[in-house]
Amino acid sequence: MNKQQISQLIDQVDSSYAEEAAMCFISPKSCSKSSALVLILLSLVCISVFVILPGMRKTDTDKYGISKLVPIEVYSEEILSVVPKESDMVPLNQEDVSRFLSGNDSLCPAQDQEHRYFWAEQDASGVKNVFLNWSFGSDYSKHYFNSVFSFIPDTVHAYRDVYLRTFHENVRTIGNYQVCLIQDQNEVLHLFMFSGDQMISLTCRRQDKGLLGPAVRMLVDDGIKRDALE
Amino acid sequence: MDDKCILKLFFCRDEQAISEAKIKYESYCFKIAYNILGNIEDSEECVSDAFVLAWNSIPPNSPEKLGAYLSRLTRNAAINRYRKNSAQKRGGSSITEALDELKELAIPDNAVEQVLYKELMGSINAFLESLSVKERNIFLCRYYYGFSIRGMSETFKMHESHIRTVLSRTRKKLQRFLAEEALNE
Repeated sequence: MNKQQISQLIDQVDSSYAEEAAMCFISPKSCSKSSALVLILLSLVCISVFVILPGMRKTDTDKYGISKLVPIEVYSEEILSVVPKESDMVPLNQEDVSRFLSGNDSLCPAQDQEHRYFWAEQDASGVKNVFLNWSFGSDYSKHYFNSVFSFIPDTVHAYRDVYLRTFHENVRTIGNYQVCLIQDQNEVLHLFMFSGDQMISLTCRRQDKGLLGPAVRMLVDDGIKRDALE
Repeated sequence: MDDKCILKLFFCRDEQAISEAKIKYESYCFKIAYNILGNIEDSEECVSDAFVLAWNSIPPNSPEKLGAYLSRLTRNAAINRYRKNSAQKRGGSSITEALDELKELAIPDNAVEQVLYKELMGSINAFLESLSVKERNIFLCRYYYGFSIRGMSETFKMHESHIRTVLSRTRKKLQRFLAEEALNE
């Protein structure tokens, strides 16, 4: 049987069976008695949590803007496999680090030999960010993404708690970092790296996911420190 | 708004029916279309098509479960789009992976295959009837709606490995079912 025949075969499924199955994900409680019982218990737990800590989860979600992010489902392992293992780490070139951190708080663009464009600035709220566009290969216009390093000790722990709790299945430990990979509704990948007071966010298009590995290799290093920017 | 009220709007030809149905079921329908197509734009178009089909078919149809009815319309629209895309060498969706799993069904030879193919067209529902409700729903969520194993694990509150085991056993049952059909022929 070829795929087309199989597909046509499945098409013959009686509508009553198809609709019965659809009700499983529309109303999971109709699937089985045991799942209904689980749902009731879960509801009770949720109510208890919300009574004890009213609105806390919702506040977190709204405050940190994660309501529009979803855990990667089908392809999570495939994508996470591009993130290198700790044993694959190579130290960041110290010369690059120095050059990279040479920007002051004012806009200070610079370019190194590997087509990495970077600058540091302080936003209105006092958060210090380093922006980095970089490319791999000869045509950087097709392969780049931005990195934002935000050193906000007062809130970075809260961000970390919320992200790592909500997307715990997508979290890996690499070197000193806890790395969390998520994609948004537009299939844009967001990779968050947490270490101490430091939070690094990498964003790239899904089709450029192969860039995440080299990027993380460059970033997981003690060379980039909050102290260096202060 | 509950399904009965939405259906009343459909029967009164009140276009608010579409809006209310979308509020309640659009995300489910999108999920189904996306499982099959793996493309946001195509999936959104299929969902729109499904709601138009619902508008054109209710009445005379009066589905008992509106969500399930819309799910089926969306799935059919998405499968049609999927076939069109496959012909144009586009794809990369969860349903592709699911259908590949079913390719393992062993058919002895071409002649038998053709007989079986025709017979099975009418007897797939007999096979489904022989399954338990849970087995049937798991089988259909995977192979009819193209849901991922992980998504199904959450829906059915079962471990992923358990879902895989149920699917594997069901495929084997289907294989035996095919063999018996061949002997009967």
